[in-house]
Amino acid sequence: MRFDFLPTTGSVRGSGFWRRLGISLVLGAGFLGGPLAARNGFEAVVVDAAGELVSDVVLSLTPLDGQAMPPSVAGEAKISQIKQEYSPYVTAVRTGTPVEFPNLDTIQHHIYSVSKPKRFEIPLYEPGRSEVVTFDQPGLVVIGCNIHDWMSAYVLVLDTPWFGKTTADGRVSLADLPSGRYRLELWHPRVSKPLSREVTLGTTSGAEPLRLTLALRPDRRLRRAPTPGAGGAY
Amino acid sequence: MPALNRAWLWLGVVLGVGAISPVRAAFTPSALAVNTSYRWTENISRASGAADFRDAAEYELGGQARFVRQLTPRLLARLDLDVAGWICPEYDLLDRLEFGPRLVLTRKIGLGPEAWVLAAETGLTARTGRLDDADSVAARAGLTLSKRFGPWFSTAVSGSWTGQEAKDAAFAVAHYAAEARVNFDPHPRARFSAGVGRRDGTFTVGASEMRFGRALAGALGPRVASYFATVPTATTELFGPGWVSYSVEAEVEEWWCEFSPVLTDRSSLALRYGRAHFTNRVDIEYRQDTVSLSFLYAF
Repeated sequence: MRFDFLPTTGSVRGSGFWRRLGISLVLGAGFLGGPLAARNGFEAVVVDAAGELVSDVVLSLTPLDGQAMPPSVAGEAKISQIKQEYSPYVTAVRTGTPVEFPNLDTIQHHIYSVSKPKRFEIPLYEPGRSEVVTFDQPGLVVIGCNIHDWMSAYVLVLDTPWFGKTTADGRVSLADLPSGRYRLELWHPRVSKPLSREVTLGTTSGAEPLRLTLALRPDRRLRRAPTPGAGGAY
Repeated sequence: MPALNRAWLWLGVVLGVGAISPVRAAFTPSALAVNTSYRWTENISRASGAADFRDAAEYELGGQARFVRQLTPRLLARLDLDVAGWICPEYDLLDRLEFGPRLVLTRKIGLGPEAWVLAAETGLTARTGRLDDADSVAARAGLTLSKRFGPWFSTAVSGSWTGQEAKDAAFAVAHYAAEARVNFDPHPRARFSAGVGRRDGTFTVGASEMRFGRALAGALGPRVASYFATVPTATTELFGPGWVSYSVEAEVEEWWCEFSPVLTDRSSLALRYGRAHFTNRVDIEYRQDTVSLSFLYAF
């Protein structure tokens, strides 16, 4: 028996086809198994010690019960240089994600990082240029501009695919999580130590968003406003 | 060619070269800023005798265009074009316009805000005002070494030379200066700064006709009389009829402190108090205190 409708190299016949079909079904079931099995949403709202909603908090869930993690898909994040600031201020990406750094200003910048997970430097960065940096090690990467010292951005590189960032209303929601136990971690540029706790998904449904309180340090960003007699840049 | 005309010619050359389009293109416009300030000066007349002390307020409106270009990964060139108008309602001969270019080459030794920064600066400032004798062009060259220590402290030491050619020799001065400053940022929206400095060279000071005449006549001793007989003088009427402005060799010790709160990311205030203490070559002393409040806005 020969199945001519299959794209073959000329040697797939009979039992070979059934073997491939079987493997495909097994892999497909593995890939689709999650959605067909119980999947969970997760929502949290983050406040500081004063009860104020906090944006730019990265919430990540790392599976503790060996829940299958979807493979990395080709994605790209973007951190723009615009109006002499990095935007967004906080970015969370999965390990291996390329991040684009377009210079949308009309002036030069000098992007750099001296953080251990990703050291790099892009000097003489002309307006209109856009370079891509791949973040291939997990950890926190602090980005600066060597011309404009007040410019800073944070890239949190995570192994888990389940993470999100709080919006202005302090909320973050994740979807499509397999049931089981997870280590929940919160990180923010002003947190002194990431908050970590264990959560179990799949035991309740329609629950209220989890309210999490994060103790934050005072804002220590460098001053951008003009200073009398100062040189400004540098 | 008189010295002052030569200085104006140089200023014109610098501004002309800056206006050529390839040069302009090389320096991408980076920022525009404006500032306005109120300054109260005690003994604005720089007189040595209390009877000649004159106090006055001045108002400033200024602007700056800044062009920045990174020449190499560690070398930054900055061209500032400054202009400032000063008005003194009480003594209108002090009204003046100051403008000029300043070129700064900055070498950053390392990466990040805590790297050492060495800056070499040179600039010209032209001054024109109601008092023709004081019309001048000043050249300045300096070096500054600065360093930030964490988010709270930064410090800088600098040395500079200023030479000024003026229409009248009484306003032609030259001096060296050294200054150290420290900035304390307890909060991103507030900065306290303080500095000490010293200047050595020639400075323009003043006296009433009567007091200067007495000094020349020997009322303050023969040493003062013989010294004052040699210094450049001009009857300027700056602070009254017969007022004499003259240039002396002196040492100046200065200190100042400043509080600068941030209003927005692009604007700030600066409240400053400073004191300068002059001692001239024949040990006559002049003291000057200044309080100013400035508003700065960067576009």
